[in-house]
Amino acid sequence: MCETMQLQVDSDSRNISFVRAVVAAFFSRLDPTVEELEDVKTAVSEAVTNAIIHGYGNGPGVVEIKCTIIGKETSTMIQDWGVGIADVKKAMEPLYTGRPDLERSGMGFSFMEAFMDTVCVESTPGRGTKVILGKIFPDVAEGWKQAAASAGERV
Amino acid sequence: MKTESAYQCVGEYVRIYLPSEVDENSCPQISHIARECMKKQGVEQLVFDFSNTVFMDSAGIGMLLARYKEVSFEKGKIFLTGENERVSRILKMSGIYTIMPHIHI
Ligand SMILES: Nc1ncnc2c1ncn2[C@@H]1O[C@H](COP(=O)(O)OP(=O)(O)O)[C@@H](O)[C@H]1O
Ligand SMILES: [Mg+2]
Repeated sequence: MCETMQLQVDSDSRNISFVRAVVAAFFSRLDPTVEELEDVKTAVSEAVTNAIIHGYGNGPGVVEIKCTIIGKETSTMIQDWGVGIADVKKAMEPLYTGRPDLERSGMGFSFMEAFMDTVCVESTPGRGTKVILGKIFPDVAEGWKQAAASAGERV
Repeated sequence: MKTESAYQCVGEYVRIYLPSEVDENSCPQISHIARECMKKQGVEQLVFDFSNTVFMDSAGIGMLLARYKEVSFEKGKIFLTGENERVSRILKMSGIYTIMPHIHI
């Protein structure tokens, strides 16, 4: 069984916090820990920011987000139809930024990789970029529930 | 939601209060406030206060690094305070504590 959620927003930096909140709300049905949700929020924030400031150069455009849940596995796709990336491997190197003129750290992809289980980037120069973030939420929640239930019994 | 940033002079420090979410949307305003405050107050000791901050991503790190370049040019120092566990984790991962130590004030 597969559950999905799709969202389209304008390329506008005010939508970054909106998107990460919506994605977190969608995945919260899996009962993730606060930390797991924060990890997803940070990674999504990085990808949406990149679509807006790099893909569309802070100009107009559409960013699409598609979330999928299969069992305990989640995937979040962030797509833009902007300038695209010529050298994905180089773009993903820690501290690399294509815009040293802006106040960038070049840590966006590193954060995505640190916080997610998988990061997949497909890009074509002149056509756009698709970033697919994968994360499995292990069933720690069940363990906590059991612990809480048995603690309740003892009281 | 508090998105405004503000600053205040406390003793020998200039303290910059960061908004609840430090991201690409709020960073331009933080940069603006920080530059204005450096111009008016001098830049000996700048403190970024994260007490209200619950979210930060790499945009915040980029903003801090840009401030570091400006402040070190004037031989000033930057300190960080009030970080919650999550913000602290992001700061640690970026390695920024080596140039901007945490202080408790
Ligand atoms: N959606 C995108 N469209 C075009 N270029 C991108 C996109 N995402 C990332 N990039 C390129 O990859 C580089 C590295 O991205 P990142 O690690 O997030 O660092 P930063 O955003 O701080 O530059 C960017 O500077 C940009 O050149
Ligand atoms: Mg980035």
